[in-house]
Amino acid sequence: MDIAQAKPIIRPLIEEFVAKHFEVLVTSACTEDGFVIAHCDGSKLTLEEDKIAALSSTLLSLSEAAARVINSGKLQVTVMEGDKANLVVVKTQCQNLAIVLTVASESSLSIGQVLFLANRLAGEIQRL
Amino acid sequence: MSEYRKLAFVGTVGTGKSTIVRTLSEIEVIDTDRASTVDIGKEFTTIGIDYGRIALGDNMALGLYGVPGQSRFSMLWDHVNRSLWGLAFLVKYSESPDSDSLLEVIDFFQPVANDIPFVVAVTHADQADDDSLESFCTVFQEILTSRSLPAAVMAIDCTSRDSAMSIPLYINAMHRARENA
Ligand SMILES: Nc1nc2c(ncn2[C@@H]2O[C@H](COP(=O)(O)OP(=O)(O)O)[C@@H](O)[C@H]2O)c(=O)[nH]1
Repeated sequence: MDIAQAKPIIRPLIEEFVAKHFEVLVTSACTEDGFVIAHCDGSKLTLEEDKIAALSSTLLSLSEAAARVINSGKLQVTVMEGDKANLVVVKTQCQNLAIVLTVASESSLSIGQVLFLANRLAGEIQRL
Repeated sequence: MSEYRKLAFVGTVGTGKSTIVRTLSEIEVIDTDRASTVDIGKEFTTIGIDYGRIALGDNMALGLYGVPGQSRFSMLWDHVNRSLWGLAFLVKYSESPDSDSLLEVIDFFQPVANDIPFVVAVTHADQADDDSLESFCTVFQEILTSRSLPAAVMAIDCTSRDSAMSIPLYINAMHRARENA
């Protein structure tokens, strides 16, 4: 699986996900080295897709480096909590392509809820 | 979006990474500047990545990554090094050229083995007189030659768009030359 093959099959999942959860501000799937696969903004925010991909892939790579330093075992999630919005980054796989999945939502969804949704979406991508 | 490529600027504190990304970018940039806690001659320094983007021609978009050149940030080097289109090492013009960090970056990124077009950009060139700038550039050209690195040393002013553009244009030309070789 390469980026070009992944795009058309992941995009509908992400779009459906954002449409279904109105608290979600943005959902992005990109490669570990920061190339956009799919990106969808909710109705409240418009963001540059490559910017989110650059940020998420860098956050994930720094989290993985920190995880190695503290011998944390496999990294499960990277979390950013804000007053008004939360963001989680998880890693998933589409066949043999590693994918960085980022979901940001309004803080009316708790970190736990966002993480639950993100993990469920990650599972759907994995089953493609 | 059109075809997307990554161009990285690596350089130590104050070399002009944030400035060049800001000068070139067509979108509002991400910056991770923080107040410096040791005296480095300026107030803020990049501690994560700078990120911006420009279009090059009709069908290419360049993601611009600015990354700290101190080797303690090499986990970020690891990250940007993947699928790089081009690499620019920034060094600030001064009377005494510091070449250690260039060697560290070359050893880490291995531009020849990884087939990544590479340039050394001497920044703050607008603040130097021609003769001293030339001898400063020569020092770096000699290092590249000693490492058998086919790369240019160019003097630039990060605050000028025309001057800064010479880096992506040069790297693009290197790609073209390879395609036609
Ligand atoms: N005159 C001149 N000033 C520059 C140039 N590059 C950077 N600067 C200035 O030098 C300072 C440090 O640049 P900055 O981009 O923050 O360096 P960084 O630490 O590498 O991100 C800023 O005040 C810039 O405006 C240049 O080529 N010419």
